Formats: sequence, C-alpha cells, structure tokens
Amino acid sequence: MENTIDKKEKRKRFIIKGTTIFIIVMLFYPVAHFLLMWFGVNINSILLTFKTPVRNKLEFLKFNELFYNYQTLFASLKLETTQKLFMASGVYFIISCFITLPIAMFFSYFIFKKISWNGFFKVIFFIPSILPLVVLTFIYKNSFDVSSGFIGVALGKMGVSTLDLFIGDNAQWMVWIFCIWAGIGYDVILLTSGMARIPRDILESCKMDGVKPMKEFFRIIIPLTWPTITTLFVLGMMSVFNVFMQPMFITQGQFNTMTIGLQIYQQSRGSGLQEPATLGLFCSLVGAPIIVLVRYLLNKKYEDVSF
Amino acid sequence: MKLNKYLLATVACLSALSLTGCGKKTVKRNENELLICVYDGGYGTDWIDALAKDYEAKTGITVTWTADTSLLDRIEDQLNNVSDYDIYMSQDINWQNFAAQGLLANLDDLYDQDVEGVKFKDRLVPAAEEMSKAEDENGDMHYYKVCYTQGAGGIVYNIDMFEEHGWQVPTTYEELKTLCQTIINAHVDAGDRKTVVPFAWSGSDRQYYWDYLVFEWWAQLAGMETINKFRAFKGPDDGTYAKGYEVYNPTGVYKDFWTAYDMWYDLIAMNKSNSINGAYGTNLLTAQSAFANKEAAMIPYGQWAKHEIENAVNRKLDFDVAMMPTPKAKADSAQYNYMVGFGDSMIIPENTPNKKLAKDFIAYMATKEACKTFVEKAEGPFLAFDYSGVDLSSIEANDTYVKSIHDKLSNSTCFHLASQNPMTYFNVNKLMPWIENNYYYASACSKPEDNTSATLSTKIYNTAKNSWPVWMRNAGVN
Repeated sequence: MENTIDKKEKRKRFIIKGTTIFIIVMLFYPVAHFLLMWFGVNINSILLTFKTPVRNKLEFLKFNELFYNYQTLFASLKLETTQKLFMASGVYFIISCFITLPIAMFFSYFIFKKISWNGFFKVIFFIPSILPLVVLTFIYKNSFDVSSGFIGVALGKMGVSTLDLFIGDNAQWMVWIFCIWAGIGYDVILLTSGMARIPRDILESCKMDGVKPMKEFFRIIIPLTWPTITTLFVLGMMSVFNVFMQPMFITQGQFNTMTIGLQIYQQSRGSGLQEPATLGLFCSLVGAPIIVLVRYLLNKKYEDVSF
Repeated sequence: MKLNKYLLATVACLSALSLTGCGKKTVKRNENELLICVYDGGYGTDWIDALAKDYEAKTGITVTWTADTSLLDRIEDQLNNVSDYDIYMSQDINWQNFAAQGLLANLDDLYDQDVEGVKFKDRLVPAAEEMSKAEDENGDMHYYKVCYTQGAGGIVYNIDMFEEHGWQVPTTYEELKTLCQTIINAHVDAGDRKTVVPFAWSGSDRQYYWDYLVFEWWAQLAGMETINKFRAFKGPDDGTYAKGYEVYNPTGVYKDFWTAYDMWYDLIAMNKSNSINGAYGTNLLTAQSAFANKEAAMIPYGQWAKHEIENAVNRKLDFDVAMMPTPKAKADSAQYNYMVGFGDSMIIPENTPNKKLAKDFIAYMATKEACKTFVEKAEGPFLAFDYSGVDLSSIEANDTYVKSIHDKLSNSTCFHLASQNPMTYFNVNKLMPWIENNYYYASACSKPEDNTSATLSTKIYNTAKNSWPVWMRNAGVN
C-alpha cells in the first residue's frame, strides 16, 4: 500500500518537475526576446531622457532637475514648428486607418472574389510592397518630372504642369498620396490572406441563400477577417510615430512634411540624443495606452472566430 | 515557489546579458592590415584605391577600404563596441560628442609628427587645426579629427561653349546678369528645338547648391568679422547666448545675407528664362544631363561636379569645364571661397588596435604625392592640406577643371560655416544659416511673391527667436 502511495507521489513530483522545465523552456524565448530587444535596447534611451550636455558629453541631471528634458519638451509644444510636427504626423492616422485600410479592404475583396482585372490589381498593389522604399520613392518622385517622368510628360501634353507638385503645400499631398499607394499593397496582402482562410462552404451557403456581394462583404467577410482588420488598424495608428522614410526620401522633411519619426531619426544622428529620446518616450507614453484602448474596443466589436 | 526562483534567476541572467553590450571593447586585428571606411559620395573611390595601393607598395601594410553611404547610421555603435575599421572619413561625423565620450583616439602625437620635414599641423590649411580640437572626457582640449577636404563651390561652366561664342567669364554680379541675357539672346541651338540657357540646376534634389554662390556674396558684402559674429550664435550686443537669436535679425548681422539672397532672387527666381525648363521642380539627373548635353552653359555645383556629372551621364564630358571665381557682389569686393564640406572629418576610433598604423596612413595622406594623387583621382576635390608646395602642373596641363579649383582655392580668402559651437551640433539641422534646414530657392521660383527676402527674413527671425530658449536648453548653454 505504502509502495503504491510512494509511486504515485514520485510520479506526481516527476510531472511537476517536467511541467516546470516545460514552462521555463517555453518562457525562455519570449522573456529573452523582451529583455534583449526591448529592455536592453530601450534602457539606454530611457536613461538618456534624464541626461543633459555638460562639456559636449551627456551626463545625468541633478535630482532637482531630473525632468529638465521633459520640461524642455513641454516648452517646445508651444512652438509653431512643434505643433506643425504633431499635426503632420497625426495625419498619418487618418491616412492609414480611414483611407488606406478601407480602400485595401475593398480591393482585397475584389481580388478574393476573382473579379475581372484582379490580376492587374494584384500587380499594381503588390509591387510597392516588394520594392525597397528608397527605390519606390525614387520612381514615384521621378515619374512626375516634367522632362523625363512618364506621368509628368503625359500630363504636360495635356496641359497640366507637375512642376510645383513637390514644392510648398502640394508636397504634403504628394507624400500622403505616396503613403496611400504604397500602403495599400501591404494591407491587401494581409487582408487577402485573412479572406482566403474563410471556409468556402460558408460563402457557398450565402450564395445559395442569394446574399448579394455588398451584404456578403459587410456581414460575412468583415466580421470573419476582423482580427486582421484590427491588427492593421492598430498598425495604422502606430504610423503616426513610424512614418519617416517617405517624407525623408520625397521632400527631405521640408514643406511641413517633417514627422515625429523623421525628427527623431535626424536628431539621433547628432550630439543631442536626450532630445529625440525624450520625444520618443513621451510619444510612447501617450500613444501606447490609446493604442491598447482602441485595440480593446475593436476586439469587443466582433467575437473572435476560429475556423 | 521554486518555479518563481528559476524564473527570477533566468530573468536576472538575461538582464545582465542584455546589458553586456554596454562598454568599450577592443578587437584583435592583424597588425599589418589597415581597414578604412570612406563615405561613398561625389569624390568616387578611385582616389582611395590609388592611395591604398601606393601606401601598400611603400610600407608593405595591406590597406583594405570600403565605400559606404550608410556608415553614419552605424558609426556610433561601431565606436562604442567593436569597430570594423581603423579610420573613418565622412561628412557629418558627430566627432565632438564622440571625443567627449572617449570614443576617439587622441591625435596630439599625429599633429606633431614629421611629414616631409614639417610638422603635420603645418601641412594643414589655415583654420583646419583649430577645427580639429575638442574636449576629452576630463574637459582637456586635444586633437581628435583631421579635416578631410577644403572644398570649393560656385558656378561650373562649359569653357568650349564660352570660347565658341565669345562669352567672357563674368567678374562681377552685373556682368553675370549681362552674360545671362547675352546667352539667351544668342539663341544657340541645343537640339530638340531647344536653345542654350544660362543655368541648369535641380530644385528637387540639390537646391542648396545655390548656397555656395549666395554664401560667397554674403561674405563679400559683410566681411569675415560679421560672418564670425554670426557663427558665434551670441547676442551681437551683449555676447550672451540668451540673445543669440539676434544674429538672425534682418536689420543687424544678417542684413547682408538677405542682400545676397536678393541678388540670387533677381537673377534666378525673377528670371525663369535663365534656367532650364522647370529647373526648380526637376531632379538632379535632368540638370546634370542638360549641362552635359550642352543645353545649359553653367551649373551651380561643389568641387565634385566633374566626377559626379560624368558618373551620372555615364560618359566623359566632351568639352572642357571650369569653376569660375564667383562674380563679385560689388566691383571692389574681395574674392572669397566658401569651403564646401569643410566640416567633413577623418577620425580614428579609440577601440581600434591599429591606432599607430591609422595615424601613419593619415600622415601619409598629408604628403605632397598623396595630395596630388587625391586631386588627380577625385577630379577636382582637394584634401584639407596646404597645396602651395604640391606640383599639380602635370594634371593642370590637361585638366582645366582641376586648375580652376586650384586657382579658386589659392586666389581667394577661404571661409567656412562649420562650427565648434554646441548650439549647432546639439540642435541638428536647426541652425546654420537656414533655420530648420528649410531651403527656399525652389519655393522662390515657384511662388516668388511668397518668398521675398522681406517675408523670409521675418519668418526666420521669428522662428529663431521663439525656438531659441528650447535650443539653448538642448545645447546645455546659458
């Protein structure tokens, strides 16, 4: 009898030990990744926000002035240039979430339903996603050149000049249009993958019930691809802080196209690293809760579906 | 409980591991091999290849070089951790800050080293020595960089075209305006139903090339004393940083800058016929091609013009070119040369094991033979060393462009806007001299009425005044 209890006890301990090892092994990678790629990388950035230049070198601030860089940042928020910077960056939320994403959903459905010209749309939307951004912006900008760009020359023949497109207020629009064009492809790739996973029998059943395409799109496709849409919406929100290469390559950040990301990138190549670090941390502190809240609300819209 | 302990131990180990990247490291490297990284720009790479081979032949040291456009993105990481190179040569190196962190090798002994019978520091062009000192970790001043090139910028012109049509190189601004009109009136056929225009330039990619002309006019009108007052970024009256924004006051120190801008404005923005069609909205390649295809007689450029244009159009120019001395703002103005890219640097990382070898290579670059090779292979640019004793006659006999750059550097008062002032390098792209790094040449051609000197000077002064307290805080100055 005692022998049986011992065996059971041993087996129980063995299972607990095995479970412990399993948990440690499973947790090792995510914890390691977090510590190395987030903590290891960002700790220096966080510490930089409490430093100031002393004889060309960044040194820690005195305790009573610990938030000196944050005070400087808040002081800069009153400046017109900083306000324009935040405005110019905020526009990318609207562009990514309310223009690019809906257009991408629309075209993804076209491609998913294999309508006429779907191959053409695939090429048009996928090419920007596979080319490096520097190449893409070069092609985009030069295609509007009055003497050598195919769009510039074609429009010139129709009496429309493209000369001023990348100057003054027009420049912002050209960067926005580029972001929409280049951004659609990425969204379309993810959305078509999400739609491809929808079981055919659901769609066939809809077809038999005489559900029209519009109804199918809004009542079936959108709810079933909602997790992908939520992800893309959240990524779109993050573009407020992430967009920097597009204005850098197209306008060098001139004509009110400077974004938070580009400013941080440019300043981080100089000596005053405390300034971009503070701006970056401030944006993270403000942006992260909003993004988490929006994600939570979006997830509540439809129940998660597995198929 | 046990599980928590295991997890805690793992996390602690990983945390320590994640921070082990911090701290300086020195790598073991072959002591007979020198590794150099140069910025891959308009100078090309023929010069470094030639210098590397020559140095190798003389010393037996293997020199391996890399040309890279992205070196600035990783240089700090390299200096902080393991440097792949013994020497870096590039623009925009944040060297004062690196020196203060102890990341750069002290070059004091190099500056006292003998090079062909003179001290290394005596081989440098004036101002280069002073521009190379910075504070170390303890606040002591030492040499931490060597200026890379001395540079020239201005108007590059087609000599053959000028000679063929009897056009004289203008010596004053008024003559330049007359020349432009003469070129237009000549209606010289440029093919494809076009006629030759005075200037090819690119507003889309390189509008700042006009700076080289405008800055020289500014120096001619204001004189060096005023330029130096501007570069100090201190109140002209009280000498304090607090009133530093006053250097942008359009009625004070900055007045002549706007006069120089007006000269450009009248020449280019108000006279569209002086430029190739759509210059302000066109790309650099179109401007380069227009000049190479003889559709324009002149092009504003830096000293790397010939090499870069030939590279862009993929052929040698079939005409002679030269950089003219910038036409004087006034007939009695002194001749100035704006040293384009004078802030560019050659640095040696503190963490390289081959510091001595690296210094020796830079000392070799200061020799007359190496200086000559650089000019010959880079087709125009000059290193920041004294060329007065360098015999360039064999190159200049066949290269009008090199001769013109040499003449411009030799016969002008050279000045630069590179600064040792913390206000500039702690506020990247904010000052110097277009606030927020916004250029207005293209905009002025697009909408001249919105970009007059009166409008822009007020806008820039107000931006400087409002932003100044924030910029001072960022730079840590009082």
